[in-house]
Amino acid sequence: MRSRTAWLAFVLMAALAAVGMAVAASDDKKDGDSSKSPSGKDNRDGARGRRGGFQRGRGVSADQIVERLNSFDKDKDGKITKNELPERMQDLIARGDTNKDGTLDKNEIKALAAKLQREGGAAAFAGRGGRGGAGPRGGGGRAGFGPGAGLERALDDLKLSDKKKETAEDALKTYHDNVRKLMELARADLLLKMKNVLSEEEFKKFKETTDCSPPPPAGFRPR
Amino acid sequence: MYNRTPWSAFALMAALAAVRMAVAAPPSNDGATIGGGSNILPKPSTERTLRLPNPPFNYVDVELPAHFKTPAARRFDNTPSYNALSDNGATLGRVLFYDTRLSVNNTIACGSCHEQKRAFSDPKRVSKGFEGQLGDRNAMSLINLRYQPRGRFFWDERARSLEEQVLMPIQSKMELGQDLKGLTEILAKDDHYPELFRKAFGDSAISRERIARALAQFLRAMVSYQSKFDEGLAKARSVRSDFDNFTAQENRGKNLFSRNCASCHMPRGQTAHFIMIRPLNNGLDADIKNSDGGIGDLTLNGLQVGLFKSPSLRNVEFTAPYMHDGRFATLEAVIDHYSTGVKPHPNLSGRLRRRLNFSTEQKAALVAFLKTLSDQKFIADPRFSDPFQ
Repeated sequence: MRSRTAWLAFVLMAALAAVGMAVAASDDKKDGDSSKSPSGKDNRDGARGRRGGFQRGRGVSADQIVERLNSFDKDKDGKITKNELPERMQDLIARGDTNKDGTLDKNEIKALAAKLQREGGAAAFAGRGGRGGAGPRGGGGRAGFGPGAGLERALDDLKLSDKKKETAEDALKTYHDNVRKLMELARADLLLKMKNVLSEEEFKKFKETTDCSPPPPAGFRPR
Repeated sequence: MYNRTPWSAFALMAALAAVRMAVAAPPSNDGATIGGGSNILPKPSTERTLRLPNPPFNYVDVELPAHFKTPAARRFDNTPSYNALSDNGATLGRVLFYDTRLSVNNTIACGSCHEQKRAFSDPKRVSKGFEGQLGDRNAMSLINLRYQPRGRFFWDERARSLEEQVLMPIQSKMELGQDLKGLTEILAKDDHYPELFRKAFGDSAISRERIARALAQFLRAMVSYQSKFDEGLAKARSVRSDFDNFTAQENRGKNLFSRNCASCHMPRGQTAHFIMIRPLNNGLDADIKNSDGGIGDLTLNGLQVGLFKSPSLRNVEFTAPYMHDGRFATLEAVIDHYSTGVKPHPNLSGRLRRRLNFSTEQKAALVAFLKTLSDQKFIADPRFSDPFQ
């Protein structure tokens, strides 16, 4: 019974994670923000409620996101270039510039926003490398707002008793630990194979690239 | 062979996972920028003398108070198994942290914007880069970074581990502007670094990965745990009891904090870590178009626009100005914001939709309590100080 429950909980968590939950949007269930569509036109912008507080918001709409990015369009030509964006946002150009003109226009921004939301937001952090990043790397879906974080949040949402939650969190920590170790193993396996393929100099460069590949999923870490 | 290896290794790993790793060291934090509060930059590290104790400082065997050792508190530790803290590793990290050669023009180091006396934050509203260029965010304080369970850093959490984070300001064109390959070559030619790397990692090879690991170790070693709050809690029956070493106002502030702030800033049934588990929107701006979008600016996710990470509240007295853009100069201004200044936002945290409406006395009590989180020993600890003299 116990193992069945655990299995069901896992399936539930995996399903929730796959939906690409916008973890950060809701710091807890009270926020309730993340269950709403970000594209609702009837966005109330947290309008004042009856008790002098603010009503529940529904996220920022796609149009507002386009408007936000367009605020960086310094020369008002309708296109955003890399130099117009803060350094931390410049990766967006490479990710969304589908016509390869080195800029983002309104349609590309909308398409990119939709794509990133499908990927649960984690994609924004994937492949970030070189300057401002930690080196070339792929993946990225693990941490950030990816499945790992989804599992953590799904567990929070179950509202378990303290003792039960502690045990469940231990299990989840072990899961993260195992995934991380598998990643380390995969890297070691990759390097082993590459050693037979690449010259010494090529291997050295390749290894340097993998040295700063994303570490383990965040969330629960070894104590 | 390849197929079999992973599974046997997985079994080994599963066994290893059952073994609880006992790590015992301190914490730390985020990005770097430039310029001390005094606007007087120290001489480049190359014009000063590196002085290190022999044997190295103790970073590993630190006796933390009981409230740091509870299962709930220990669960916050983000130390990865591949980068356990060592005295020599943290020592190397300390040297790197203060070495101005980490900037491309040898003018600033991580420690230039993360001043120890400011609990490793920058008193400037926004920090300056290696050529004096201004950033657009306040440098986060580097306190107890080890105990941030999401293990993500920067205001927008764009770094997914401390090891990843520490390399980003070095390479940033706005901050240190350095090239990592060039940096490894510079360090390899130095009189001290090959030996420091050998002590830390077993051989003198210098790589970006090792630089990252050493810096992360130093940052995780920075644990603040000797505040008035910690002393009071050690003698009290529980965090809810009045602390004998607190004034009446401080105890009142503690109760107010417990009722109004602790659910975000002291989460998950522990009393050691004053951090938020997840980023949120705290109603700083209603203007979505022209305000920093935080995480949402990177993900373009409508539900993440306006969300920011929060640094630890430990030593918050020293880390002014506050918020991601340093807009609040004082703790009183911060409390005023949460009391009556929260603005509507589609992603505003649910806990902030109710006006707190603190009285003047309540605000003063909250500020008094926050100041009990100050740790004078931490901000003067020679283990975290500039080793170049």
